Amino acid sequence: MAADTPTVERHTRGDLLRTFFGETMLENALVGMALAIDRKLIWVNNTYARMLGYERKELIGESAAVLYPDDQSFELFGAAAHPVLESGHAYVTEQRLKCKDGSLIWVQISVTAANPNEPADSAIWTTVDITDRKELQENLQRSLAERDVILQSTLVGITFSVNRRHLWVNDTFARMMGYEREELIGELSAIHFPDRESYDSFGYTAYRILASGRPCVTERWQKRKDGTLIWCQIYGNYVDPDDLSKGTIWTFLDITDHKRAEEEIRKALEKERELNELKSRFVAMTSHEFRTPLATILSSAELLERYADRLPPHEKEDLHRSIRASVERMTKMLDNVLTIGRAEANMLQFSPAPTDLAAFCEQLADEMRLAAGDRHALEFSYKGARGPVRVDEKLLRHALTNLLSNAFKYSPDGGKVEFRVFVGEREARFDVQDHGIGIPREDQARLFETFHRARNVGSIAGTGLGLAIVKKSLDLHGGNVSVESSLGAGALFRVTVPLNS
Amino acid sequence: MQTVLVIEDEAPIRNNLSRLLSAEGYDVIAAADGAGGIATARDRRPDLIVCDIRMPQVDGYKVLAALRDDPGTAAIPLIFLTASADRDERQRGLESGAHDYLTKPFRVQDLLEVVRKHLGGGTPEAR
Repeated sequence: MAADTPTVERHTRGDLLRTFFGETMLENALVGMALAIDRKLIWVNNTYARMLGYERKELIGESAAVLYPDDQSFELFGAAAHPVLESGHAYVTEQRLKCKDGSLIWVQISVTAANPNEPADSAIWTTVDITDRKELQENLQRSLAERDVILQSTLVGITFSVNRRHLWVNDTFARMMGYEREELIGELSAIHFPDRESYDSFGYTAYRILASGRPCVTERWQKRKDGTLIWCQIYGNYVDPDDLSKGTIWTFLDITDHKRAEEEIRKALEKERELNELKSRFVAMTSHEFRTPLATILSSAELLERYADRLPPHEKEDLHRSIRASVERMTKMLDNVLTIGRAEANMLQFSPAPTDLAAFCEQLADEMRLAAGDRHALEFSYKGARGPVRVDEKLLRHALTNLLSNAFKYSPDGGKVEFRVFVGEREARFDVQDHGIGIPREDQARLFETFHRARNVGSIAGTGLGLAIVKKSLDLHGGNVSVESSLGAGALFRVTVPLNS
Repeated sequence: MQTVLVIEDEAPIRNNLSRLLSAEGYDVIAAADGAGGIATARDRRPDLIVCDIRMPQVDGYKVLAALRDDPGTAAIPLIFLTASADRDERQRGLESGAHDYLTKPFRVQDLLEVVRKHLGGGTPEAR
């Protein structure tokens, strides 16, 4: 008995091991296994049969074709597997198989040929049911596709970027910026900024905000591919607040039209404000500048009436003269008001005609000399060609008379005024130089605006219209006027007029 | 004869005021700017002053302040005659101590009435 025992034990253990490997382990392995010869199943394990809803014995002897949804898929599988098996490798694929009850399951199949030279001969299949995984995958793909549709069809441009480089952009963003999506992937967002400086400054600001754990909300100009700028509302949020290197999601809304409308409203309001300011300046000006000559006219008239019998003839004559002078002064102011009114309404005409500039200027100088009286001297000089040139005499007269009468007016202590004319081939230049009270630098920028007068004019009468008329007249002429002056040092007004037309 | 000082930089108006007041029997002295007006007032002690407001360098307010600071001239009635018809300006003029405020253009009759009122009454009425 004792002598037999080891033999029995040895025998039993060998059987057990054989049974375990040959039967139990293969039968109950987690993977389904099958052996096929000429694509006919000659052995399957329990797992395999269960996976497909069969009893083992039902499958053994059957063609593998029964497990395929249709003949075509069976043939396709064979055709695909054959060359791989022939090369001595395992053919691994995912395949739909048909259960006994007709339902389909997804399996991962690995097929190995027992003899690579005759792959059809005998093949060992291992099969794993991956239906659940496959469903998950399909669901994921479906929701990814849905997400993609949502992201693509939104009105908002969306980008995902890491280190300011686009990893993903939606169609809306690409269209907004004038690119194809593919062109943008991998690009630095610097291409959307008007210049390097704005890119850098935005990066600095956005980083600080995002790093502090807040989303970055801003509005700014972005540059399209064609170089045009659009005004965007931008919202940026990190993927992981603790690790900005994981990237940022940015959304962009093109609000250029909105912005433009806003800008137009702002401009209209500004214009309205300017007009109101102009109106009150006009009221203040007319009030003061018209009341003074009116006071002269009214008091002269009343004196003539009241003391007609006692006033000596030369006094009467003097009163009449001051009435006439005051009426002239008011008429001139009114003319200026009308001219500026026409100019502001764009109703001032530019009608150039051949003009003898030398004769015109000489005559103007004579007229101004007469008006200036004895306290001022006008020095006139003319250099250059003397033939007729095309200018608008009326506009030029407006401009030059205003400049010359200003030169006298703002030299209250008298003195010399120079009127120098240079006529070249392309342009004529008119310099009017005085040695009067000058114009403070801070007033020079707005000097040519309607009603704007320098602060040092004191009580020197004026409407603030003259230089505005000069400017408007020259604008129409395609010419220019500039001033060089400082307080107390006189002023040089330089007018240029093109002669090419 | 009562003396009236006219301080006015616009020559035609200055001349007309002189003519008018002379014709009405006043002794008229005239100054063409603020500084000259102050000097003349101190020198001649007129009975009344008619003064413009907007004048170069020394304007009407400065003239008024200078005269009020000087005991010799502080009591002389001063009438502003100005092209500023603005209500605020008028109030400012009266608050700064002028006895009256007339705007240009003015009726000769109105001016004479105001002049007589302040010359006749000696001290100005409540403003």
